[in-house]
Amino acid sequence: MLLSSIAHTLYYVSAGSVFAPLLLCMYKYRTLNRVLRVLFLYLLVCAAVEVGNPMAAKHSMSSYFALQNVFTLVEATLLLVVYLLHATAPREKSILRVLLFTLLLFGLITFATGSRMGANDVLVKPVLSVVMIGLSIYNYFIVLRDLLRGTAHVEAYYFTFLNGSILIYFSTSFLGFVFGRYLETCPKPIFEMIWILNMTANIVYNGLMAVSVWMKKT
Amino acid sequence: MDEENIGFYFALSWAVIFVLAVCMLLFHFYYRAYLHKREQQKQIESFAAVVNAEERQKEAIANMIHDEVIHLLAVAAQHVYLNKPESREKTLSLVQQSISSLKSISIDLVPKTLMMFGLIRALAQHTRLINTDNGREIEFINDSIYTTEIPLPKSSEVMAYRICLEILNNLLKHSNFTYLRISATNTDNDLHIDFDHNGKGVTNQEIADMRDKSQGLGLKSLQSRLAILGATMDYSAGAELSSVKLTIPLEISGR
Repeated sequence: MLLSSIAHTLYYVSAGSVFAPLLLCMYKYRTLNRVLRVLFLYLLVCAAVEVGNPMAAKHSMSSYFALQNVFTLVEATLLLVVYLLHATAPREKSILRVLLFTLLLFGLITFATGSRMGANDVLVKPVLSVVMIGLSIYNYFIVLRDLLRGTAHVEAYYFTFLNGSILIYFSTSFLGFVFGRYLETCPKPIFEMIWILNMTANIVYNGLMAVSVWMKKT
Repeated sequence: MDEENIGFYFALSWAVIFVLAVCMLLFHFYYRAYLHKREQQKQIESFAAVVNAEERQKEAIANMIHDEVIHLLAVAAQHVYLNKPESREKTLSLVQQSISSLKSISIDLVPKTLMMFGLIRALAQHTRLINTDNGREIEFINDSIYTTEIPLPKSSEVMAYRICLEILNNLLKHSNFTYLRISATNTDNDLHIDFDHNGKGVTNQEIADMRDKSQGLGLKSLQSRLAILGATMDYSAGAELSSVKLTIPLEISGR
């Protein structure tokens, strides 16, 4: 009973937590660089999806899944653009452009063929998660290398929070797909505990994004 | 895999995520410590830059007085000592030369135009002086509402003037331009001085890298002056025109 109520409360807190970085972006709009402006757009989409989710679910499950699938594609595009704008090395930029193009093409083909747009996405989201986890770890590696060399930029500090949030969020998201079947059959208290962890990760994700926006100086 | 094992692996995966989160936290602490150290280092460098700039200025003044004034006065003193009627005119001429040298030194230290007519006029005058010095075309356009009185304390105006001179010097030394347009504009709260030129430009990132790597004091003392003034500088490099945009916050009363 206690777990149920915590899980229930956390669901609403998690849905509402997207507004923390969003409002902060609005408040600090003048200090936002191109990276954070794209993040702002992404947060606007996230907020719209959070609001649209219950409505779509009430209408039909296929509408709900269609909304989720479109969101996955938009999310992939915007987050990859965030990394693309943050990248400085030309080789890194080229790799990110190829990744972006491939992922979008893969997503479009997956959803467009066989009328899968209204079906539960089992392919694109895990692939996106793996790509984002990889990018995030790579970014940590680059920053750590620069720190050890003493060439890390003070201006890039804000991005590590954003990078960390992406790592946490997509790691938990990826686990959800890997252990999807287990979650369907596991006992309710265990499911609720996992749900609580998942929602906590989501809140941490939004919280870290808010910190990232806050840390950006002019 | 049976259900028990899956549960174990699932828990293990969450443990991995937890460890990742802890590593991230440690990483942030490390990064923060690095930034703190870097900030301290920058403060020391800025302080050293200011002290060194002062020392160089003192040295320059001493050299100018030694080379241009002292020997003139020494010769004049010799003439006075000899007290010959024919050397009176020479003495007078030497004293006049000394006065004019001292005048030019004092102008060099703090330009009179800046003190009397403000930053905009002083910049316009300096631009005219450079234009006569070399074959480059330098244009000064004042589109701001200010001509003589700028809402800035005199000390800040002097600092802004020094920053503009440093930018000009750097452009003259490194950018190889043939045309430079200096334009002053203003918004409600800021004065903008833009240096648009057709020479080799640099970006903010390149300047930050140069500042970090360079042993020279020019960029560092420029940075200190900007910090004291609360001003910002934005560099951009283009194929045809590159620019350095200086933004100086004005002290508008009631703000």
